[in-house]
Amino acid sequence: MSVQTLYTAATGMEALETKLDVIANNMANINTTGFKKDRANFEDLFYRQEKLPGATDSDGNITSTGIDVGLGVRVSSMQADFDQGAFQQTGNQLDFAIEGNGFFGVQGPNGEILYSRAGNFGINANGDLVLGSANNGYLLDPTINIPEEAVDVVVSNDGTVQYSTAGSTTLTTAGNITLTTFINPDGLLKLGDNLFKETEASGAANTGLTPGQQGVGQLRQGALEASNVEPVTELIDLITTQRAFELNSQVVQAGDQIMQIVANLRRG
Amino acid sequence: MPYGLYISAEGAKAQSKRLEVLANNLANVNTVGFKPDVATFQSRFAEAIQEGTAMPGSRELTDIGGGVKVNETITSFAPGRLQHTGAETDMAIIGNGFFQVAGGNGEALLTRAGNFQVNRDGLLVTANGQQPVLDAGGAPIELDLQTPWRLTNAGEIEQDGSLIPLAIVQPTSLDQLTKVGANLFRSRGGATPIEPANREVRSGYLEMSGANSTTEMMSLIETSRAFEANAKMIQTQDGMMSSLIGRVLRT
Repeated sequence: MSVQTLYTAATGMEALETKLDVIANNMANINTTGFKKDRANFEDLFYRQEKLPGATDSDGNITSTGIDVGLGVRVSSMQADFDQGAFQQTGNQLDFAIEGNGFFGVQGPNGEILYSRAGNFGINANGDLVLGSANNGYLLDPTINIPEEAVDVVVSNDGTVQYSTAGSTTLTTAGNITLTTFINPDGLLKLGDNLFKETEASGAANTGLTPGQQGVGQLRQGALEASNVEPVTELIDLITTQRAFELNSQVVQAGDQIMQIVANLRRG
Repeated sequence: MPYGLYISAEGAKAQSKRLEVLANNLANVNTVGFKPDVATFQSRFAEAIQEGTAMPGSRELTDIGGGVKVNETITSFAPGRLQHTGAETDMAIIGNGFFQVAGGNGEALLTRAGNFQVNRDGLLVTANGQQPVLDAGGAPIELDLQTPWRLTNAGEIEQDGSLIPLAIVQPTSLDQLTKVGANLFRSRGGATPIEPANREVRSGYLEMSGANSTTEMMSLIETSRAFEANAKMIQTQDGMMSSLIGRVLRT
């Protein structure tokens, strides 16, 4: 019956491989603006009840606990950690960091609204604010247009975008940056490109919120939210995962050895 | 056939079962709130005693013992180490107690894994999203995520000034818990709530697996060797039989 041992250890190795993938992605995104690290949650698989507790065995003993043989482990869920990342002062007028809850809304390629924590905005050819690179970035939603003659752009903590023109000190309002929250941000779908998409699990987007109100974070101009990946934690996770993998491979070897011993029992 | 052959086979079988239990412990060395199992062995009476033809303790030739068997698996409920995660939906129980969650068909299951999540309906659920976490009154915990909430050390969720105590219970005896997988336990003898004054919960921490890789690895080596020894015994006894038959046939 040592075959079970092999399969049980294999579930461990499989789950740990997934964890290793997650750690690798977290580490790869250690410098990605607005990146939120993931965590793989593990849970034990079901149990084979060989003897029910309270049963009478062949020797007439009534057992209090029975025999349960567990069948391994699996990854139960992948959870994003929405902890605030560190703030990085950039001095760029079009860099915004969210201090607290909330996401920027941007227009995706098919017109759907996507969400991001990265605030590295630029201005495209039409003068509209876009997330990411200036030419083919994602249009901020609702759109904000900064005219060509604008010299200084000032964004207040509540998301009001104002600009001044050359030789003038008066500020003209261009629009308001609003934020979006979700009942369950863990349920958002990660699309890559620092973007998240609403899903059934995340709940409906609660859009149009003013930064700094109703539990939504404030905006900080001239700063970016860095990745919330902590290299030390990830490295420790990496080491423990690798060792746990090694342990499970040892179990496979032990199971294999036992099967070999069994195979060699019969001699000539 | 020599009686000892069967005794050695029983021994090998028991060690093989123990290996399966160890494999599961090691597979779950990273599982939050996991409690390792220990396979306990019991010696058997000799066949003659089991059949009632000899008396135990008679010290006669028939009272030679009947090998070994796995009697039961016992779960070790020693606390696992706490790991800081910083996530506010992560909770660890310090000391005794279990969180109570709603399993299928209305029964309440117990767990030490506090890696909870909030689902789209605002319900606090287990990591796989399937079991709602219960409050002291046995109802699922529903949060309004537009308002900030926090966890108190007494195991209550505070939101907007109101306190929702989490169900933290203790079974009458830990022996009455059966593992059902997914980090859950079923209590056969019910469970009584722990008074808020006598319990402590930490937010932002998780209780990691209780399986200790070093001890499990030691047991693994021990088990493999014991299996090998039993296999060796089988071979020795088989060899004796073989030479006996050979000699008998020659005369």
